[in-house]
Amino acid sequence: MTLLIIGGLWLVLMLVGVPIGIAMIFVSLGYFWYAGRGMFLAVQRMVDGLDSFPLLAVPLFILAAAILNSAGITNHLFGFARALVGHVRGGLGHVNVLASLFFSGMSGSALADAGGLGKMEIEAMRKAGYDDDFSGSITAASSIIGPLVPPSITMVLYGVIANVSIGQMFLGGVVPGVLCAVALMVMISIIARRRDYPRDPRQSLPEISRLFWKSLPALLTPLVIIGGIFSGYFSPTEAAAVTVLYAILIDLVFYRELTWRRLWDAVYETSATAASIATIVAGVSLFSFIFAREQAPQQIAEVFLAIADSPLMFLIAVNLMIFVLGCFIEALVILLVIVPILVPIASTFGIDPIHFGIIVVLNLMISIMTPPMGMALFVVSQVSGIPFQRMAWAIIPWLIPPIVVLILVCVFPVLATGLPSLIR
Amino acid sequence: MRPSHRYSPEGTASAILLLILIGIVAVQILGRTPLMQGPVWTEEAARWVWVWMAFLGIAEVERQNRHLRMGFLGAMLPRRIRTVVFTGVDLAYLGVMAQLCWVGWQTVERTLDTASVTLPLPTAALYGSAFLSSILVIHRIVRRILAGESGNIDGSEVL
Repeated sequence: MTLLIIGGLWLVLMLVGVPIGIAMIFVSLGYFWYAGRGMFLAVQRMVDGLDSFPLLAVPLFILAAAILNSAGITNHLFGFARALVGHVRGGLGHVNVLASLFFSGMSGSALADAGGLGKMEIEAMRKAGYDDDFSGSITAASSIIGPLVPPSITMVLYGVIANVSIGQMFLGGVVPGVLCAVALMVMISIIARRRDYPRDPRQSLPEISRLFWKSLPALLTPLVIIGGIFSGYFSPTEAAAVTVLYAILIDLVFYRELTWRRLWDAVYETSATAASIATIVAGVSLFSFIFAREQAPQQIAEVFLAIADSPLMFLIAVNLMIFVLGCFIEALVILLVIVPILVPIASTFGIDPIHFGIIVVLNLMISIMTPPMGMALFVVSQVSGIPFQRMAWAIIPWLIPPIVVLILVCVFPVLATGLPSLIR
Repeated sequence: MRPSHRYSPEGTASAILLLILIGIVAVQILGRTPLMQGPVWTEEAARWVWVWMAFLGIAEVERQNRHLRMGFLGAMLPRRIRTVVFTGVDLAYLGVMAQLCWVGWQTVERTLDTASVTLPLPTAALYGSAFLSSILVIHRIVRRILAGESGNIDGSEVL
């Protein structure tokens, strides 16, 4: 009962528009006040919740993406992707997905992809005569590849809350990320044929080669990250710092588009963005304490054990729950509040935590495409000027490819665990 | 609401701490190479700098009014009702932050004699971040209420 009241109050506060993290702090302090204990430890719990070395990777990966966007590296990646697949029917749709795949190797954020690459992609597609609903939907759908292919802020947070190797999570996301890209490209091919979308002239080999060399330093970023982590040179957190330094270095040496002002703005904005996430992490620390006191994990586990009698049934129940919640609640909140309760239950069903993590991350990424709380839709709508309502309808068929990949990953765990097990 | 000034002291301090954080992590990596003797303080220093950066940044987020929120229901309210509702929310928020400020100060006092593991500082220096942050946030909320801008929702998203 107490849990229902806490959850209900929190939901009401959030729906009214109270910031998510602040709403958690409101409700938690109310609980401590009502229970007559716990208040004197509130600040200590909030600070201790943030005092985690792996969490440092979050601001650092956000900063790396911000620098790459500020330095105009996205232009080079888009140009290279266009030279590679622009000549196929509906070429710019494929370019959109391929550029997102390239960018995902440097950025761990779907919204950095949708906001950074999205504007450029949609403008190019408009000029070439593509429909807005098609361009906007592909941009939103392809942005979900970002957090699947390393680096990934969502995976860093999952690694922290589930206490699993972030490096293994990074590797586990590669195959599902590539599968998502392939599934989206299949869908693009079908629609492009039906609507007779245009194609670019085929680029010459020397031109492709020139664009490849121009993009190569940026394309090497994931190798630096994964190579560094698995060769033992650095931890994922340190890899994030190296990515920041690498982004600055390649701009200084190759691209030379980053100014001091742009760099400072990227740092300034990142610190505020990271603080916004930190508020939620601090709020979650208070919630976790209450959940533990009220034995929430045990109660929720009982519910799942009652409705699921096999790992697959459990995964189906979890996926349905995340999908429905994801339509209304921000993905980050689901990850930080609900997933920590689910991870131990998944273990009792014998599900590999890496496998479970990849499923959760993929489903959370689908949730950023689902209206009414699809944040990727908001961002694409904002950068392109396509009305949100139009995006909300247009995105629906584009949910199919990632959902198909999600089903495949649920049924065939090797898709998520195969690559990490090779390196274990 | 967008702030009239692009940068603020708390935002600038938070951004500088982010740069320091990168420097500390870089020292930690270099410490594992033959170039340097591996320092033991880097991990704890990095964590503390991150906590300070986050708490100072929260005050900046408050200034920019860009906390992560689900503002669509609130945004549907008529302007005047929204202002009244959010002024009420801000007043409650003030109360919560005042409570956190008090608890934060008590935490600082309680941990003054607890030494950090590797840094020459008491752990009170870590918990002081939340205390200072709550004062800065209170300052921003008061300014927002006085300016009649409580109903200006400008949610932002980060992941």
